[in-house]
Amino acid sequence: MPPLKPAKPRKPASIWIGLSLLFSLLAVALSSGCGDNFSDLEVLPTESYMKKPGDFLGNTYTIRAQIDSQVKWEKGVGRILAVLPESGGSRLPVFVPDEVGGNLHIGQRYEMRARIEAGGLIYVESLRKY
Amino acid sequence: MLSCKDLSVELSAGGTRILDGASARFKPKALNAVIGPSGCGKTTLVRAMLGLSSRLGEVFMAGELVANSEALRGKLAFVPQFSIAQERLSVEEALRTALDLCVVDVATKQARLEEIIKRIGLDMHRDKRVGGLSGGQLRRLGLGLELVGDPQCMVCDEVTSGLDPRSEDQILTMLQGLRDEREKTFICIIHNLAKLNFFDWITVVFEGTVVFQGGLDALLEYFEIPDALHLYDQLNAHSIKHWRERWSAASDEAAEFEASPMLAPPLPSALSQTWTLLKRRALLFKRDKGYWMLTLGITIGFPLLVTIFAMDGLPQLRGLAMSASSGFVEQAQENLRYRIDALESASLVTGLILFQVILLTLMGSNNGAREIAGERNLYEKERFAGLRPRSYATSKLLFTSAVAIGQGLWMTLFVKYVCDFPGPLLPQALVLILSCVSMTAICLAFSAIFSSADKASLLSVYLVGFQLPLSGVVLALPEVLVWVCRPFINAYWGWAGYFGSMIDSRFYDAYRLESSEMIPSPMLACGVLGLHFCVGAALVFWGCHQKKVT
Repeated sequence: MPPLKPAKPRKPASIWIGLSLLFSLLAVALSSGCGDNFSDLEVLPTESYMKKPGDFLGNTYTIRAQIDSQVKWEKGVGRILAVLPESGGSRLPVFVPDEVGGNLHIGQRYEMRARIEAGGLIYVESLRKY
Repeated sequence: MLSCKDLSVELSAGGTRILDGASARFKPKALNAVIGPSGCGKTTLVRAMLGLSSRLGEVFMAGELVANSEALRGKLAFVPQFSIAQERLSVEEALRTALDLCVVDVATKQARLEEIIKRIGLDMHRDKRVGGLSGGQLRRLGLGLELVGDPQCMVCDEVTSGLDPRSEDQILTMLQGLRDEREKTFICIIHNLAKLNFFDWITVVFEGTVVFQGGLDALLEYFEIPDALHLYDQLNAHSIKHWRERWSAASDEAAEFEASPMLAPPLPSALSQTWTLLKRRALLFKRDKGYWMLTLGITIGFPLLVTIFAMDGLPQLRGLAMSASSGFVEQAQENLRYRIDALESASLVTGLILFQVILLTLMGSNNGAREIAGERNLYEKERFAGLRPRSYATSKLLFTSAVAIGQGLWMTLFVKYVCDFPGPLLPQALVLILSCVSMTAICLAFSAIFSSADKASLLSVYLVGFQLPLSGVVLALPEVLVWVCRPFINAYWGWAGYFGSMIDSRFYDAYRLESSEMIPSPMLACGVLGLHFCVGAALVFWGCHQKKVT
C-alpha cells in the first residue's frame, strides 16, 4: 500500500474571509466618502467667517447644513437660502445657482462645496443631499 | 486489517479514561464480533479506532498508521445502529443518492445499485419510502447504504440489536454471504451472545480494555465456560486487574494478520457532489409539505402584514412655503403643522420599512436555523463515506440563499406596489434580498456550529428578537452604544439601505427635519450586508468541518 500522503491544510473558509475583507474595505471606502469631491475639503469655520468674511475670499470649503428658509429666488439665476450649519453657530446665507440646486425644501440637509466670493458671498458650486 | 495499540479515550484531557490501553487486531475477510457487558467500552473502542472521537494511542489499517478518519475513506465504512437516511426518500432514491456522492462511473453506479438492492432483500420495496420501512428493513438499508462505496471493511454498530431472531439471522447470513462472495471484513458490535457461532473472531471488551481475542472455541476454553451465555458472569467473578494480567500473558501482541494493501477509489468532483445534494434537497423540500407550506405561508403572509398598516398607500406630505409671504403667527402655525405631519409620516414610513426588514430576518432565521443541525448525524455519516464538507456547505448556502432571494424579492415587489413606496426598485430589492440572505447565512452558521437544532433555532430567534431594539431606529440607544452595536445589526443596514434609497422623496426630508444622523447609502448598506453574508458563509464552512456526532 502506498504511504498516505499528508493531508494538505484545508482552508475552506478562506475565500469567505477574503470576501469579508473585500466587503469591509468597500464599506470603509464608501463610508469615508472616498473618491467624492467633498471629503478632501476643509469645513467652513462659521464663527470666524461671521466675524470676518473677507479673510476667506477665494477659498473653497464644505458646509454641512440644513435649509432653514429661502431668502430670495430669481428665475434663471438662483436662490439665496438661510442654512443652519451642523457644526453649530448662527444661520448662514448661501447662494445656490439654479443649475446647481434641484428640488430644495425647508428641512433638507445638504453637504455643499462652496467658494467665498467677493463681499463674503458663499457661492455653492455643488451640493449633495444626505 | 484494522488494529490498535494502547488505545485510550479520556473524558477530558488528563481525566477519567473510558477506554484504557486497549490493544486489538481484527481478522481480515471474516466476521469479527466485539462483545462485552453494557457500558464496558465497545462503542468507544470502535469509534476511537475510526477517529470519530479524540484518542490516545495508535490505529493501523493494513499495516499503515491511521492519522484520522479521512485516511479510512473508501477503505472502511461505518454502519450506525439505526439506519440514518432521509425518511422522505424511497429506498432506491436513498441508495442512488449515496452512489452519486461516492462513485464516479455511471455504469458502475447502475450495476452496483441493482446488486445492493437485491442483496439487502429490498428489491420489492425499492419505491417504498424509508420512513415506512420496518426495523429489520431499515437495518438492511443501512448496510446497503454503506456498501455503495464497495469498502473492504465494514464496522457495524449493533445492527442486529432489538430485532426479532429471524431478522437477526437474515442480517447475519447476509454478512456471511458478503464475506464469502466478496471477501469483505465485518467488525460487528453485538449483544446477543447466542449468535456468536456466526462469527469467526471474537473480541471481548471489559471495563474499558480488551481482555480476549480469538475464535468461539478458544473463548469457551479461555474463560472455562460451557457456553457463551455464561461469559459475563465469569467476567464479573474477577477484577479487571485479573483479566488484564491474564490476557497480557496469553496474547501474542506481535502476531498480525496478513492484509492486502488497500486503495481508496476516486470520488466524484466537489461540484458533482454539490449538485447531487442540491437535487436531493429540492426533492425533500417538495415532499415535506409541512415545511414548504410554512415557507410559502410566511413568504406570502409577512408582506400582507406590512401592507395592512398602509392599505391606502402612504400619506401625501405637504411642504413648507419656501418664501415667507404671510405673517409671523401664520408662519409659526404652518411650521408647527408641517412638523407634526412630517413626524407622523416619517414615523409611519420608517416603521413600515423596519417592519419589512424584521420580518425578512425572521424568514432568514426560519430558512437557516435547522437546516444543518437537523440532519447532522446523516451529514457526518455521508462525510465519513466521502462527502466533502465544502460541497455540503456550498449546497446548503445555495439552497437557503435561493429561498431567501425569492422571499426578499417578493417582499420588495409586493409592499412597494401595494403601499406605493417611492424610490428606485433595484437598490431597494437588493437591500431587502441581502437582508434576508445574510440573516439566513448567519442562522445557517448557528446550525453548522451547534449540533442541536433546538439550540441553533433558539439562538436564531434571540438574534432576530434583538434586531429591533439594537438597531436604534425605534428605540434610541445610548450614544456610546450606537456604533458599537450597529455594525452587527442586520435590521439596521436593511432599514438604512432601503430608506437611503428614498433620499429624493419627501418622506426622507420629513425624517431629516429632526434627525441629523448619518443614513448610509444603499450601496454602503449592501456592502455591510454582503460582509454579514461572508462572515456567515465562513462560519458555515468552519462548522461543517468540525466533527459533531450526537
